[in-house]
Amino acid sequence: MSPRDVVITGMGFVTPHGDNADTVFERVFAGESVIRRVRSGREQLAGDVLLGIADWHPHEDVLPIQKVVMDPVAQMATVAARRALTQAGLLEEERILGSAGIYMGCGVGGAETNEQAYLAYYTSGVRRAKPTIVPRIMPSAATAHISMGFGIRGPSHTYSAACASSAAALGEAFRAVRDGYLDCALAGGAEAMLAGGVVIAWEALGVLAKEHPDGPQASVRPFDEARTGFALAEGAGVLVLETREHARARGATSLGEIVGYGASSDAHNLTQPHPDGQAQCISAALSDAGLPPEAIGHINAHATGTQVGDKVEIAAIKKVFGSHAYRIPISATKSMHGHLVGAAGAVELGLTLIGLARGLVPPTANLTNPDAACDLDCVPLEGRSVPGLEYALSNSFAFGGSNVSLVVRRA
Amino acid sequence: MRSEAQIIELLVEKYGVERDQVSPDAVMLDMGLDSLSVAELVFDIEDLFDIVLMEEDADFSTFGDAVALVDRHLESKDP
Repeated sequence: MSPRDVVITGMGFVTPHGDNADTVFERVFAGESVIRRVRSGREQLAGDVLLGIADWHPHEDVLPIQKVVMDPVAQMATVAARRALTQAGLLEEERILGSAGIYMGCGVGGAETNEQAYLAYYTSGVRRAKPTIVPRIMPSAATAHISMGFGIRGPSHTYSAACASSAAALGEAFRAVRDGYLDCALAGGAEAMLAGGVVIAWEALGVLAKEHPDGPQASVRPFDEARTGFALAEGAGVLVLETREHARARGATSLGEIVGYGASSDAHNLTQPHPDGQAQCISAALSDAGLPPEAIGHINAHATGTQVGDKVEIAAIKKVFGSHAYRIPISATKSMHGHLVGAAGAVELGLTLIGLARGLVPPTANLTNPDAACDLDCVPLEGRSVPGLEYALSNSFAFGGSNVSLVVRRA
Repeated sequence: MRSEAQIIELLVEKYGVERDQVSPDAVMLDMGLDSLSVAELVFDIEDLFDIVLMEEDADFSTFGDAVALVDRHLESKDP
């Protein structure tokens, strides 16, 4: 079958900037960081951590019975999916949903349930556990609840690739639709792993941002000399993908198009990235899109704000784009929303698509003194209007060296 | 019927059941709970009343069955 064009017809978000995709973009474009200092953990084990807490409305958007069987990660995913399907005008389309697929990314799964379950078991002195624990913890829960909640009967796959989970899910869904396996797919990711026991484990890696003298919002500083790491965050992003013809036939509006998907592995180190693997990934995405490097007008970088990660990504970008690298505005939006891990790729791709539609690129917040090793145009402090913006690249580079890059085109 | 009011509160507050759906003959599965939720409900009932329900016992299908079961256990604990 010849490849089909794949457009996006709906997007739904639950993020630290809120749960309306357009408003989230506007706040990110305005350079607003929502990273806060939060007390994490219990009683004498509690400590202050910088986190991106989801700003959403479970009281309005999630039924009590859903809360019985769903960890917050699946709740967020289901809310985001509903928003995406609503925008796409597909909520009542049983036949279309019945043959659609669902591809979700999730790094850890039901972390809050996991923590409460262990706590209860080990402190209770009784050999007894709640029956809902397993279905709430499994990383595939978000995928399952979206399938069940909306009658999606095509393939339901969950990708767990740490920070690249939802980018991988989007890439695979794109391929399935492009190559004729599906006409329609929901794809995205979710993560809600800010439980005390999980956060302390991340702290031990030495990758989390220390609080900047100017406060929590100034603390995640990708590409800046004074960067000290990232802020963990939670949320969900779900996009509706369909062939251009399928969308046109039912009068749906395209919000943009996925045109290329590249993936690679560093085969190097569990926590330290390598520029060669990343460069290979970006090149693969460009080649899949049939585009020369010069076609890219914007990059949403993976850039979490770590000393090593940010400069490795800049080196990879230079390898692929050569002198054109100096002409591409590169935004590190994790400076403002934090690192959503399993949801990062999806939310960042969504933001990139909204930016393309508006001809805007978001800033990299807190970039006051660029590291000499990050000497590209990283859109410091202020978002920008970029005339003629057509193609953008979104990178997601995970622990273990699992890399995904996606190329998108404005509608 | 000592336990009736508390079980109704549990169903309404945690399981989102509408108060007027609850009657002695109301079937749990018809009130919006699935088998997994009913299993969780059994756990919640044990915690709420400090009783232990055996597997055979916990096979109630209506609200009335659940109330009768709990009341029997409460009777034998504290007649």
